[in-house]
Amino acid sequence: MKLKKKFAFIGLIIILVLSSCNDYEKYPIEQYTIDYVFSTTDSLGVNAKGYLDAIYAIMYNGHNRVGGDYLDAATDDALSSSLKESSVQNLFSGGYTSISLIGGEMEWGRYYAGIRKANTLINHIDVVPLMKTFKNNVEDSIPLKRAWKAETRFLRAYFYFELIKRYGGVPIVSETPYKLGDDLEIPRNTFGQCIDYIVSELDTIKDSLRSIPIADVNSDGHVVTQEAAMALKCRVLLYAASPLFNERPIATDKDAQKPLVGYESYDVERWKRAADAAKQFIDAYPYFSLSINSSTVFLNDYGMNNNKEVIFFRQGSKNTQIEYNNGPLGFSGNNLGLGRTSPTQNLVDAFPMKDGKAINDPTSKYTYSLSDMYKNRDPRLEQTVLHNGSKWLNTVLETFEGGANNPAGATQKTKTSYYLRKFMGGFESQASYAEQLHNWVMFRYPELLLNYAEAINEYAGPSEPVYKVLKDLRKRDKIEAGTNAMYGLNPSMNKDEMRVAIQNERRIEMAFEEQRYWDIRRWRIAEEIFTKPLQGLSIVKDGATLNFNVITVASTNFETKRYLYPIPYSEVVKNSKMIQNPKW
Amino acid sequence: MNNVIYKKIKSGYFSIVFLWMFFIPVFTFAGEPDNNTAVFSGRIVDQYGNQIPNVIISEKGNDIITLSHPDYLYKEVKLNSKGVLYKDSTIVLIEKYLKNSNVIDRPYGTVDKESFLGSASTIYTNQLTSTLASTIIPAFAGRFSGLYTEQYAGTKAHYTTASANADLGGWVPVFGAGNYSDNSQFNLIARHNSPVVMVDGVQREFFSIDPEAIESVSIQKDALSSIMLGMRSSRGVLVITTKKPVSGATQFSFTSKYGFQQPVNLPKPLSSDKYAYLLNEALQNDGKTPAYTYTDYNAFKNGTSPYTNPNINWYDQVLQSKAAIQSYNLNVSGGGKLAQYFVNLEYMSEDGFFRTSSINNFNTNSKYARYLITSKINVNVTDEFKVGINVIARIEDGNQPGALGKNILNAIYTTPNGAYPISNPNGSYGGNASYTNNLWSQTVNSGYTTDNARDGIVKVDLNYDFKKWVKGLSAKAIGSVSTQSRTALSRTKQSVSYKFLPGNVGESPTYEPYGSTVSQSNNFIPVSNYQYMYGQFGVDYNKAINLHQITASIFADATQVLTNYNLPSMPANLNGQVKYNYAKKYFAEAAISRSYYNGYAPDKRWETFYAAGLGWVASNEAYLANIEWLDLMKFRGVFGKTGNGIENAGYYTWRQSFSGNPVSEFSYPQGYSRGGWQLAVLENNPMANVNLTCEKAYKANIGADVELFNKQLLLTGDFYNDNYFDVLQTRGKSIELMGISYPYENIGKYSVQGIELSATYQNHIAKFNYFVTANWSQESTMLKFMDEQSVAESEEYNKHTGKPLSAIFGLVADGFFSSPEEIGSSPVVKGYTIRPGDVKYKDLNGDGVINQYDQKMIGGDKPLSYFGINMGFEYRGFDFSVLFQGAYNRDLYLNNPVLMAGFQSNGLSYGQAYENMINRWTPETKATATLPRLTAGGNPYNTNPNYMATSLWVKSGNYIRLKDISLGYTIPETFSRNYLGSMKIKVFVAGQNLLTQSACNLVDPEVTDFTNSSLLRGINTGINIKF
Repeated sequence: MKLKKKFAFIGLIIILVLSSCNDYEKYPIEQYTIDYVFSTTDSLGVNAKGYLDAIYAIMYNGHNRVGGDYLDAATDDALSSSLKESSVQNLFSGGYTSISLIGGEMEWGRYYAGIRKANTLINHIDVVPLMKTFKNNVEDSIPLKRAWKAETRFLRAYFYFELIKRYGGVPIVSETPYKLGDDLEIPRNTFGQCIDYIVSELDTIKDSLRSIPIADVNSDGHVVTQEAAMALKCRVLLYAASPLFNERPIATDKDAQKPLVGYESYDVERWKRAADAAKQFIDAYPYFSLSINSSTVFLNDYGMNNNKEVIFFRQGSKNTQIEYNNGPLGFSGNNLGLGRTSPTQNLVDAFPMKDGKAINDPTSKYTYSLSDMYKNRDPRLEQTVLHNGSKWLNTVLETFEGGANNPAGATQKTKTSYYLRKFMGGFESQASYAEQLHNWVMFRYPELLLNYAEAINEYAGPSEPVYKVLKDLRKRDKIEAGTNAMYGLNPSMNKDEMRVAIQNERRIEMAFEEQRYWDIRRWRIAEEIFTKPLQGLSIVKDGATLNFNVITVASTNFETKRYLYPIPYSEVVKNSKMIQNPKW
Repeated sequence: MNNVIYKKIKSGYFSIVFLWMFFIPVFTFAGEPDNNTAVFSGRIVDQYGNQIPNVIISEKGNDIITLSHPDYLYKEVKLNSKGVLYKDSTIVLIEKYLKNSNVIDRPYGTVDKESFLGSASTIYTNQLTSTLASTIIPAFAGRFSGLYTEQYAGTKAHYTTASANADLGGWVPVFGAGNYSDNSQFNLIARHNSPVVMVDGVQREFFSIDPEAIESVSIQKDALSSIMLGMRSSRGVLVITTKKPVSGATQFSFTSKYGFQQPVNLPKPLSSDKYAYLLNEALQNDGKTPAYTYTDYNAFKNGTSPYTNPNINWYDQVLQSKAAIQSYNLNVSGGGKLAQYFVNLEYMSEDGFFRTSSINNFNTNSKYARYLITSKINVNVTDEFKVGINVIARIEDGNQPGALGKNILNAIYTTPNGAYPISNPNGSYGGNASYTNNLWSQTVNSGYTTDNARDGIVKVDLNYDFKKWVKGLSAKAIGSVSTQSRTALSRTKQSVSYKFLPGNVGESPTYEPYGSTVSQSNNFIPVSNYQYMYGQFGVDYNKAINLHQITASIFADATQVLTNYNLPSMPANLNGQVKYNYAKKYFAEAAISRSYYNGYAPDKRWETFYAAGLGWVASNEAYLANIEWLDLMKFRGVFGKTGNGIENAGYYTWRQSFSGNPVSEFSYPQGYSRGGWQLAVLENNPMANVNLTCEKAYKANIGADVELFNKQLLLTGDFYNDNYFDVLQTRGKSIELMGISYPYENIGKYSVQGIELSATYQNHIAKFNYFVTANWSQESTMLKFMDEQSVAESEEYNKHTGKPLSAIFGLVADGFFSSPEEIGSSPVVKGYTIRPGDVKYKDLNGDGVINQYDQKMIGGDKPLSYFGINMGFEYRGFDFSVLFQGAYNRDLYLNNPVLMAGFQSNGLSYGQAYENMINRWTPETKATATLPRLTAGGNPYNTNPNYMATSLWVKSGNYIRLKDISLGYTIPETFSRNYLGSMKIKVFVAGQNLLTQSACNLVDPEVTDFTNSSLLRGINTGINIKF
């Protein structure tokens, strides 16, 4: 019997040793719970800050964002050089449905994930005993916690705006994060409700945010500021007043869709609201002005090198990634460029001559010829595209057929003879690429000016302030003032002519900044724009002469339903209250 | 008349001891007047010198006696003229190729075959050893009923990066954490589950072990066999039993095998001229400008400009056609009454197929080598107390090119023959902007990477029989500790490639550099660290009252697994079991398991499972016992509730948690220097499911075993019906407005049912011994509940519920469009420019567009069936065996665009295409085309329109393989005795995968992915020496 006991004892020990005796924590220490993220003892708010940073990161960096291309490569400004059917090509040609969505762009879930994170922070940040304070242009000592909360509310509003410009009215979800088992069959809010919600949020948080200039640009330059909030408000109101949502929303199959795709009736006062918001911004923040040199705007944080036009940006890293992805083909080693973006002839033709007159304007003092078309042009052309004969990396580019930068054979290369220049460092005369700060500028001062000009023109017709905006921009970009100091502008434009002038100015000033893609939609001009095919140049070298031929590189037929993206099929089928956009 | 002496020895410990001195009794020969009685005595032993009971001895004609036994080959022995063999002589009987053991090894302990109520299929050493491979799994194919093997890679994976829990290797059933497994090549499936592997009573997912050291492998699929595994009991169990020490004189056995392997079914690349022609065709089909000129085409075709227009079959350039494989094994066993031992040493190595170069003084080819020591010692301390010690040590060394074999295979697969030259006129490596890293440079000039795994396993068994105090009471305890560490050494480098630009006439050529130079590194990488501790304690009680026999046991076990940085995983079970039989006719058995796992929420950690079985051995009934040809007739049935958890529980997924991540998509760059990244704190995906628990099943199995004609014919049949519930699925209403992905929840239901049959016949015609054994299994599955969205009544075909689990859903391809008019008048998939030659899809609901509602089951709808037929013979020392194995009702979905569409975008250029592209649609070949028109750059309309599958790529996966064939010759016993000092020598030659007949010849029916190393065909020869 003794032995029996001994065995029982041995067995007991084995089991005890294996199952109970250990020195580990009960739950994985690296997977902490919410009490640790928003800790009552974390007076520096380290984890809460980390959580906030993750919400910031939901905002996209727009450089080569959509499947490796700029979003504007899905407009008439450019196309992707990729050999495969790229995402932007599908966006351009309508190669998507409610089940085959375009990754990197139709990100319904990404923004709702951002909204959930924002709600989580807003609901829990109060317990963190954050002691830091800050001062803005309203008050002297504001707890930093209030700014964090306000920044989060900005981001949430921003995510909603990203959704409504894609889908129209979307569900405004509960401000308490949902739990497993909660009823998520939530209907869409109307377009108007969404706009009102965003605007009221931005107005509410305005005074709780930091303001520019921020003391420590080095570490806090990227944060949401009062100026960023007001710039967003201005953009939101401009979109709300625009034809797609205000005057001419797309036709619907069902009555229920009507309030979702835009306002149910036109109201010109919406333009007034947009104009007022822009005017308020311009008046309230005299800090901002146009930078001397528009090409370095994208290479510096605000406040650096006299860069006073950046309002809000998503921080980027120091690298040569943009040069690598978009730089011209034909260089090797460290200077390798993949030539991913092919700007179109359509874009090149949009740039006026150096005196500000359109290329086909007979009153221009410069004559335009196909074979020498880059001479005496708006200096912004050189800052936007690289063409045959441009200097790059201390080399004169050859983008004629078979040239060093446009070789024959089955390889990715320009489809139009052009490469992207904008956003890249000043490597015209450098021997090789060097690391360059590549922020993604989301709001900059010229947009506010153009917003103002557009809204006031739509509300009251062309007036001096409208002209002033265009003249200021042209002046900064070194277009010749001309004898009448009109910088090539026709001094007696009517509203429609002025609209065209503003639209063109917006196109060339803000090319590749994710403006045109949305502009041609909110203006409801995409159907008309795309009746003209996308064109490029085929430059054929014959001995010493170059023959320039304009060629068609792509065309599409823009169906009306494409003004709004389809709601993902799975969302509609799983949610009985979810109404799909018209015709999808 | 022949006199038959039939001696029955009751099985049991006592008898076995007695057998050491057993002599064949005296018998009389008729027709020998001079000697009325002749005495013959001797021992009948097996190859190891162990005495064999129950041999039937009879006389045949003059001076010849015959010996037969169900487990040994038939033998004839000539007597000397006096009718006397010689005194104390020894007759050696050789085991039959197919063993029919009376004992079945269960996960814990053993059981008499007679009282086993479950469903098992078992193979023994012989069936494992003729296959020479780095793991024992290839030898499983076709040998078991109810175990389906599917190979997806030809060679073992090398682990060279620090691993997270999920990729520690092997086949993990659903998701999340799993036990360590060294299997990276095979899916092993028994009744739709991957079985738990038990090696000598402890769970170890080990397959890279020495087949010579294995006694048996048994797949046990019923609820009762696996119930003791608690939360893993749904999965069935694969019981591997290694050889046991045998007392007696020291026995040495040495086996050496050497052979060659070669890859089979490599794809056939297009030569570069054909490639250029077809790429131009593809580009023109899309209205793009052709990429190659006629001059290019001619240069490719005639090889006139090998530096600018090369034609390199990279498979031939980089891979060699054959590689060596070898193994050496020495085992020694013996011992006395007090202690017995078995020691096994093994070295095994398998070379890879990468060509090497003399520029290196190190090996760049891939290689796998294994050193293995197994030792088992049993000590009978007293009559009552027995101790067993089992020690296994294993070292695995791998090697591969620095660029990593998998990457090279992938690059070969996608690089066109004309992409770039191997080297330029000046000797530099060729390359360009799309191909910056030359393949030949990656193969021989990228250094090397080794990966190493070291295993140590110790297991101690203690058994105490309390017969002195209480008869029939015994206790056992098992303790096992094992540890594994995997590391890698990376000594890699990279060199620049150059594009050769010939320049104009008179100019000297220039070379543009691409890629970058990386000088040789020397990095030590900790890959994984694994520690496993297991303890078990049990008490058995055995009692017989008249003809009633009852056995009761209880036992508890606990495991602690530590993997890398994870918290310990600690499953434990408390089990009870009762067995009863009456007169060996009526059997009953029941077991219960209380199972615990610390990975679930505190109130979900305990689950109860149970199983019970009944059996009836009809042949032991008085009215059947006298039928001489009927040896066994048994009916049996098992029912139980089982569980499948632990491996699919994830890592503390029931707890809503957050993690800090310094660099991720959601971290944010900081400051001007941009040197640092902000810490991102993220809510872990998916959201927590506090109610997560293990999956469960009700499993039922009924079966019958029949043995006839002195066990010459064995038949076994099983039918099972398993109903799984609480299966992990995400809910149907997983609405993204939640803002976080949805967790798995215990909501799914499915059923698996099937039939497994096996038949064996062994007999002899005179001295010609032969056998044939065959098995056939069929499994059908049905998804009984999935949280699907409702569909319109006319679109019922769209529903997954009610269909097999293997169902492939997609569009139905209906030929190719032949004209723009036909396209204009047909419903099409929106969002694509469709041209003649594109696939036409069926509009099943007739709504005028092709979309998700037009998807139906396009394959995988039939019950999977698989089989094996093994036959062979022995004649005058020659033995031969051949195994055919195959599967049918099996569908492959070949959606690999590189193979099926070609010309995918690759770097800045277009990638490789293969010979099957010749059959593409063109206006001229529209009647015979099997593939749609060519496109370049990866237009998904024909391969994956709007992410939907299409029936064009569903191919039959039916096949039959000559899996294994072997021929051996054993040097005659008399010769051995007279000239070789009784050394027994056998030489043999064997081959694996020599022939395959498959329904689809584009790919191998099993290894369908060309970026994995392909299936290997091998032939080997060897020698076995025993003394």
